[in-house]
This record gives sequence, C-alpha cells and structure tokens, in this order.
Amino acid sequence: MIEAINLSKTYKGGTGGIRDLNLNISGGQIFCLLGANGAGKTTTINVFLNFLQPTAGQALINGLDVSREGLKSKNYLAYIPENLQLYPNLSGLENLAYFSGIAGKDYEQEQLEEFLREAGLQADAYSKRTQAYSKGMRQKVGIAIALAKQAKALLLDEPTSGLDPKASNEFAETLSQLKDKGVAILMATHDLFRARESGTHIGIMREGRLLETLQAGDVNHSELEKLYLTHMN
Amino acid sequence: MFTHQLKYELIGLLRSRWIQLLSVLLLLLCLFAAYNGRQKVDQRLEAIATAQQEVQEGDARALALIDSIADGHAVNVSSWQMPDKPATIGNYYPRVAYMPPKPLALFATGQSDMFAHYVKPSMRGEAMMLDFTEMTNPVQLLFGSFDLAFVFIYLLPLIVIAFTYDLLSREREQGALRLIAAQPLSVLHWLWQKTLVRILVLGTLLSLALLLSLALQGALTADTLPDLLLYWLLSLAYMVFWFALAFLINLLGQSSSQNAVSMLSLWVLFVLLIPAVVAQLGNSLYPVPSRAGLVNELRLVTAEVNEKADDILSNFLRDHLELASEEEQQTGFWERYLASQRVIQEEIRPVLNTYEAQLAQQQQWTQRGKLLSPALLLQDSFNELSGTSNRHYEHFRSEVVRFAEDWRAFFMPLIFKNQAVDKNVMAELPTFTYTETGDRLSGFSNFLVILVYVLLVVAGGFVYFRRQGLESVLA
Amino acid sequence: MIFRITLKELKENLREGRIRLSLLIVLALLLVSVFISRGYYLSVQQQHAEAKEAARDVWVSQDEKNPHSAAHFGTYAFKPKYPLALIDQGVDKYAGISIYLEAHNRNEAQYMAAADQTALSRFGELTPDFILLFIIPLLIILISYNAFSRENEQGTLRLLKSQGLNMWSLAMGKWWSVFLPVMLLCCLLFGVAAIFLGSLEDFGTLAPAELLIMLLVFLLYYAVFINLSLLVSALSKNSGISLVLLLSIWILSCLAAPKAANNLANGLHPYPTRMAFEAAIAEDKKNGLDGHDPWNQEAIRLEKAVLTEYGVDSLHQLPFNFDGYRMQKSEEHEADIYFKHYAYLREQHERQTDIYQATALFSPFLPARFLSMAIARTDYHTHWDFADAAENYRIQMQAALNNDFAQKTSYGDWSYKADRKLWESIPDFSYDPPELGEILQTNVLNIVILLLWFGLSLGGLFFATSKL
Repeated sequence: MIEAINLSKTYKGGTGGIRDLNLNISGGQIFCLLGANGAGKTTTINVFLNFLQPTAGQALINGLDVSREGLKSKNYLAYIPENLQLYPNLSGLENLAYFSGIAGKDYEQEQLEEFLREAGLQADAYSKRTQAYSKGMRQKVGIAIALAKQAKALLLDEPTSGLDPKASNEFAETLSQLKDKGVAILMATHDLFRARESGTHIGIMREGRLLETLQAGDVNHSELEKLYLTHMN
Repeated sequence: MFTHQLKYELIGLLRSRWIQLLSVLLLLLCLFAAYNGRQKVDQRLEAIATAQQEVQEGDARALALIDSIADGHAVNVSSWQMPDKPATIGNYYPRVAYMPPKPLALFATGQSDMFAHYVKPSMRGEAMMLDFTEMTNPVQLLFGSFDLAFVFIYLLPLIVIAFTYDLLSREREQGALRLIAAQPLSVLHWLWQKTLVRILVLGTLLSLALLLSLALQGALTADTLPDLLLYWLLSLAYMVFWFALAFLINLLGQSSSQNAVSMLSLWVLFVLLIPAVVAQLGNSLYPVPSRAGLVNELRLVTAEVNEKADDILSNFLRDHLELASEEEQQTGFWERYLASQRVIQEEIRPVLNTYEAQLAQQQQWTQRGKLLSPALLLQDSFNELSGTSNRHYEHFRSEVVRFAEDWRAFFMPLIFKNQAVDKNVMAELPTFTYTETGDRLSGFSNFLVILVYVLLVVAGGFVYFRRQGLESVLA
Repeated sequence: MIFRITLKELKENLREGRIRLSLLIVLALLLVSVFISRGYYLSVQQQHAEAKEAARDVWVSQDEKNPHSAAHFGTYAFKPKYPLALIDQGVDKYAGISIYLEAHNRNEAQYMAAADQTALSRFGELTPDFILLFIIPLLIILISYNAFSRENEQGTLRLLKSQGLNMWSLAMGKWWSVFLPVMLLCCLLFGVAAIFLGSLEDFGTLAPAELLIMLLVFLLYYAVFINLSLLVSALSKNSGISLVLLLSIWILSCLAAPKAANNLANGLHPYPTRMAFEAAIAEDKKNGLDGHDPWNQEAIRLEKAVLTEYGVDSLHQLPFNFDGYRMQKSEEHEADIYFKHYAYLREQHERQTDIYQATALFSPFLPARFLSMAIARTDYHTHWDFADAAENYRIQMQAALNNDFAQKTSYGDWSYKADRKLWESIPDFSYDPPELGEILQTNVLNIVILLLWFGLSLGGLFFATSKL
C-alpha cells in the first residue's frame, strides 16, 4: 500500500533529505519511523504527500507513483499533520464536513457525528468552535477526518507529541482499530514507547538513511531504547 | 537595568534587516518631500519676482513717456493710456501686493496650492471681490501634495506601527515572554522600556532625516531655528503618541497580526475618519451660502448704483469738498466710478459679512474639532508654521484690501482735481508691505495637547495592566 | 468545489467579530455619506437654479441701452451639477461654479467651494467616493490579508492539499468570499443612489447604463485589490508581514502615487499664475485691435479694407454702422487671443494628464478615480467643456449684440437704445455635459490600464498559488 523504492530526496545544500529509502507497508501494518530532528522523517512523509519531488527512486501509494499521479494517489491516503489547528471559527463538526467535502465525500450529519465518536471526541464538543479545543480534541478531529476519508493508507506526523497519557492511550486504541480494518499506517514519531506499544514494525532513521528495520515484537522497551541510542551515536 | 535592556535591544534592532529598510525608506521619503516643498516655494518666489520686475519695467516706461510729454513731444499712445493721467497710473501701473513665503514654507503646502500669492490691485474692480484663488488644475488640489506634512501625518504612524505591532506578541509567540516573566522584573516596565528604546531609535532617525532633508534644501538657517524646533517637537510628540498606542495595544495580549489590525484601525480612525467627520460636521452645521447668489446681488446693487451715478457723485463731492476741483468739475468716468464704488461697497458689505461670518464659524469649529485627533492638531500647527493656513490667506486678503483702499485714496484727489502725474508723484506711489503674523503659541499649545493624549494612552495601558494582570498578556 | 469553499470562507469571516464590525461600520459610513451627499447635491442644484433664473431675469429686465453697453453688462453662466455627482463629487469642490460673460474678456470660473472651507476639508470629506475609493480597499485588505497565511500557520493548508484540493480552486473560493460582500455593499449603495436619483425631476437625462458602468468600474477596482491581497497573502511568510505589505500597497496607490504625480506634473508642466496669464493676454491685446479707440492701426487697416470692399469713400456711406462692425471685429480678435492662450493652458493640462496616466502604472487607484469622476461629469475635462461652451455662448452673444447695433443704426449714431426684445432674443445659456460614449472614448486609456491591472494581478495570483 505504502511503498518506497530506492527513494531519495536531496537538497541543494547537501544537508537533510533522504537517501535510498526502501519501505513496503501493507494493509494492517503500522510502521513507526523513529529518528532525531532532521533525520528525514517529515521529508519522507512530505514526499508521499507529493509536497516534495523525489530526486531519485519512487514513492507509491496503492501502486500509484505519487510524483506522476499526485492527485489520484491522494484519493487513497489520509494525513494527520503535526500541530493541526483547524479553522477556529468553525465547530468540530463543520471542520469535518468541510474537509470531507473537499475530498469529494459528502456525508450526512449523523455519519459525521459517527466519525467524531469513533475518533473519541466527546459529544458535547461537536458543535463548539475549535478555538476552544485542547490539542487532544483537535487531534481527534484530525483522526475523524482521516476516518471519513476511508482511505487505505494513513500518514501521521508526530501524532502523540503534546498529548497527555489518557489522550495518547485513546489515540492508540483508534490506531489499533484502523489497523484491524486493514489500513496501512506510516507514523513518524519520537515516542519510543508508543512505537513499541502500537507499532507492528519499527524503522530507525539517521541523516536520511533507514539504518535498521525490525518487528516491534522482537524487542522490549529498554532494548528498543538501547538500539535507538546506539544508532544515534 | 534600562541600559542593559537598551544595549541588547539596540543590537537586535540595528541588526534587523527590517529596521534598516525602514530607516532608508524614511530618509528617502523625507528627502523627496522636502524637494517637492522647495519646488513649490521656488515657483512662488519666481512668480513674485517676475511680477515685480514687470512693475519696474512698466514704471521706467511710464517715466520715459512722462518726460517726453513734459518736453512737448508727441507720443503714440491712446488718450486713455497717457501715463500723465492719474487714472492711467492707477489702473495700468499697479503695484505688486504679495505675501512672501515663510522660511519653512517648504514643510507644508497647506492651502498654498489654492490661493494666489500676489495680486496687483488697481482702482478698478472691487478689491474685496478680488478672486484670490490661483489658476490651477483642480486635480492637483484634489490629490494634494507629497510634502513633509504628508510624510509626518500619514506615513510616520505607519512606520511606527511596522516598528511596534509585534513588540510583545512576537516574544510571546516565540516563547520568550514566559522566560522574561519568570525573571524578577515587572513585565510592564520591561515592555515600556522596550518601547522607549524604539522611540529613541526612531526619534533619532526621524530627526536626522528631517535635518538632512531641510539642510539639502537650504532651510536650515538661524532664523528658521525657532520654528524648526517647534516642528521637531510636534513631530516627535506625534510619533510618541503612536508608540503609546502600540504599547497599549500590545498589552491587550492579542496575536501579532491582530495587533497590526487594531493599530491600523486606529490609524484609519485618527488620520482618515475623524478628520472627515469633523470636516463634514463643520460643513453641515455652518454651511457657507453659495456664492452663486452673491453674484446676482452684486450686479443688482451695481446696476442700481450706476443709475444714480450722477447723484451719487454730487453727494459724494458735497461730503468731500476737498476733492472738488477748482475748475469746472469734470464729470468724467473715473470720478463717477470712484464715488459709486464707495456706495457699492457699503451696500454689498452686509451680504459679504454673512459669508465671512459663516466661514469664521467654521474656523472656530475647526479649532475646537482639531482636539479630537492628533493628526488634526499636527496639520493645524504645520500649516501655521509654514504660513499656509487659511488664517494666513485671510490676513493677506485683508492686507490687500487695505492696500487697495490706500491706492485708491492716493489717486482720488489727483483725479478729482485733475492733477497730472509727474516724477514726484511716481516716487510717492504707495507700496505694499506685508506684515507677518506669527503665532507660535498655538503650535506650542497643540504640542501640549498631543502630550496629553500620550499621557492618557500610557496611563490607560498601566491601568489596564494593573487590572488584568499578567495572565492576559501571557495567555 | 469553489462554491463550497466560498460558502465556508464566508461563514468563517462573518463569525469573526472584527470583520463583522468593520462591515457594519463601512455600511453605516456609506449610507451616511449618501444621505449627506444627496442633501448637498439638492441644495447646490437649487441654489444654481435660482441664481440662473435670477441672472436671466437681471439680463432681460435691464434698461434700454446701447447693445454694446449690454455686452459690457454681461451675464453669468452657471455650471450645472450632474446627478451622478451624488456618488462622486470629483473636482467640483475645487473648480469654480460660475463664469462672468462680458465683452472683451474671457473670464475664469469663479468661486470654488473649497476656498470657502477650512484646511480641514483637504483631509477628505465623508462622501461616497471617499468611502468607495479609500475605505473599501482597506476593508478588502482587512478581510483577506491572512487568507493564505493563516491557513499556513494553522496547518490546515497541508490538510487541504492532502485531501487533493487544487490550490487555484482554493484561491478562487477565497476570492469570491471577499468579492461577494463587497459587491453587495456597492450594489446597496448604488441602489440607494438610484432611488434618490429617480426621485429627482431631471432624472430623465440619466440612463441606468451610466450608473451600471460606474458600478463596474468600482467592482473592477476592488477585484484588483482582492487579487493583490490574496497574492501577497500567498507569498508572505506570516500574516503580519502580509498586512504591512498590503497596507504599503494601499498607501502607495491611494495616497503617495497621486501626490507624487501631482508634484511631478506641477514641476514639469506648471500652469502660469493667474496674474501672469492675464498680463500675457493684456500684452497681446495691446498690440491687437482696440474697440474703443479709432486711432489704432488695425482699425485703420480694417476701415480701408471695408471702404474698398463696398466701394465707398466714407464710413457714413456704408449700409451698416461701422462702429458696431468694428467692435465686433475687435471682439473676434480678442476672442482669438484668448483662444491662443487657453490653448496653451489646455496643452499644459494634457501634458499633466499624461503624467497622471503614466503614474497609473503604479497605482490602480488613479485610473479608477479618473474614470469615476469622468462618468459623474465631475472631472476637469467636463469643467473645460463647460468653460468652452460658455465661451462659445459669449462669442455668439457678443456677435448678436454688436451686429444688432451695426445693422440697426448708421455710423455716428450713438443714441440708439435696444430694448427687452433684443435681450430676450438672446437665448439663455444652457449646457449639456458630454455623452457617455464620448466620455468612455476620452478615457479609453484609463479603462485599458485598469483592465491591465486586473489581468496582471490575476496572473500574479495564479503564479503565487502555484507556489503554495
């Protein structure tokens, strides 16, 4: 579903970017991309979103080359950005309706409310303006938008940063449900704990290269941390 | 503590590309504006000089002709243009009645683009009806001039806004504000000091730009210094007013762009809307009656008077025996005309008075209304100091009217007694001298009013902060 | 899709307290200004109508006198106010309202209204054109300065892109969300104005087409500003910078460029001072024909020519009064002198206009201003037209009077007094301003420049959104 074949993106200065990235994430898998700031995690996601053009290799969503069929490939993916703020004067429900409509999906009010419920947002918040939402609540709307897209691939950028343990846990639940539905998930994160808990596969990136890929079940938490720190030095 | 903050703020400011850009912009604007002002003043001086030269040449010609006539030569000149006749000199050899520009006239164009700066009143034509408006493209009057007054009143506040809209909000958005608030100092005082540093920097830039542009136009001399000082004080006070507003707005704890919007709305209010509303109210409350009615009044009166011209003349001479000639009274055109003019003036005076009364009411209203906006106060003072206010042109007009009276009075006995004009008479012709009206006091009082505005705004800021506390700022 | 975006943007904007407030304030200002303008228009119309009637009355009821004396007595031409002056007062305040039509002199229009006002009025007055030309673009900037930059700052832009939204559609959606309320405000204003104008007696002369074209000019002007706002918002790193930049553009367009053009025009092609102008004319007159004094050279030549033409020896033998004939010739000669000097003035005016048009490349305000004034017949061009019409009337009036004297009497007979019949035979001065077609033709360059601004700014917007 989410595939990278020898994917490279280099910048003029030479710094940053990604080199020879190979990924193959199928439905039902949650791939957690770990790495320091500037390692290339967000760049990877940006390439899949066709925000950046790769300099070599291919990025495929559902078999479609995103650089050639950008718009078409977006039909198959959903995205939750880091630090999403939404439209402050619109309610959570209105935000959801708007973004869904943009993607070409017009839902009835009950359906939209169902998505919000599935995402874990409390019912009394649906009609409140999002300027009053906490970060966790905004993220839930983001999840609802992704759910409403009913896409086969999901891209997440630092989804748990700034969330309290309860919200983080609720997020993990939703993630698990999506996995069970057969969605392929690529998640860029710093959260070692969440990666080990929710992820099926883990990749460690440094300076644009994917140094190691492993199955989440093969390590425990402290082993993962040791492994990570080893690669960082 | 202040010097510490001063040092770091200065470093930050001087390194900022933004500030460098703004400084250059300010300088260029001042230079351009001063140049424009100088151009207008030069045009004015040139026109006056040309007129004066023409008068001199005319006088020389007249004297030459007078000599020829005295020597008995025949001259090829129509009888009504004979320079030995007093009526001829009175009508065709007028003097230049002019208002010279003040030394700092280049600062504010004011009303100078609307009115003439010199007239040549003759015996003919009701002097008080003299049209003092200058011949100009009305589009010029509509758009106004790019002078220093424009730069200071309209553009300076925007430069201040660009300088200060994110004073506090930027720090908050970058996260530094909390760090500062955690230190043992008052955030309020810290903000005020930040503002002061910028006042110093911009104030210095402004003063330098002003001095440089005036110096380049040759307006920095000993006698301009007192007026210049007042200009400078007023401009700085106005600038500080806008800084004070920025200080207050920043305390409200909004985002940077919300601050910018608020400040710009205040700019629109003080510089555009309040003046427009005050002007409109003045027009609505004290409308000056249309001059269209005046023209007919004048004609009717003139017609009536001309009918009774002979009677008027005899009455006039009865009242002015000194003017009766020893020879048989020539009831020539000029005798009748001069006598009639007197009567016409008396008849038309009450009508003119209504116009002047309404205009005076409007002026009074303006003097009160200007208190509503520092922009109005500034415009008022700039025009006064540059000598381009309504008051100056009214004063000039009354001086001209008085001179026209003197001119006429000079020739009346000559005409009535049929005296010839010779070299001596030419030498004794009345000349116009303009008495300058200076009013530095109003400029100073306007300066004080702007300071009051500043105090009110700053006090408002302090009061607001005390009441709302730190939370609203940090939020 | 664009419609969906527009709807959402409108909803969002109208929920923003600041924008709601601004819209209300602008609406209030517009309505107030229209009311005030209407009052002013009505009172001026009435005053002019009364004055015109009174002047005519004075003219026809003057005593029996020599026609040439009547020519000196003269009459007045009053400049009528065109109904659309209700919306745009143009330069009317700065141009004279009446011209004195007398023998031997072409006079300038007198009594500009601004001369009877204080310096305060130079700030601008609360008139519809002030709101339409200055305030509404500010409103546009206020609504849309952060149209794109806030999407960026909120993170919603990325989400929209990931949903497959085309950036140009987004831009168009936002464009309409700003244009629609502005268009509504304008239509409201013009609608109210149309109602007022419809209630006037002389509305018949006003075609709805003119009102519509004026509306279109303003809508085009606003379209340019919307393009510029969205374009700057799309290119700016943050909303604060966007606002400052847009405001600078507003200042440049609406305040700085016109003033700079003024100074440039006045510096390069100044008008002569009134005194100098009159002196130059007097100089020319002195060397020309002189109507009062038979000892003038030109008169002598004319006399000889006429005597030869009619084959007689003395003026008494002519079938008309030579004095009258000569006065008419003198009048024509003087009119020629004036024509020459005014032609120079007109040349300076046109050179100045060229400078304004060149400056229009830096400011969309200038062509909109000139077009609006032109359609309202309150521009300088119309004033010239009026002055020329008055001059033509004056020349014809003089001819009628002098020829009457020439035909009805014989040489030397100064006792002739014409009466009311002659005065009435001279029709009252009436002036019709130029037709719309003519106006549009004269202003074609302004139309082109404004359209150019629209096209280029739209292209710029396209380029900017492609960079998002």
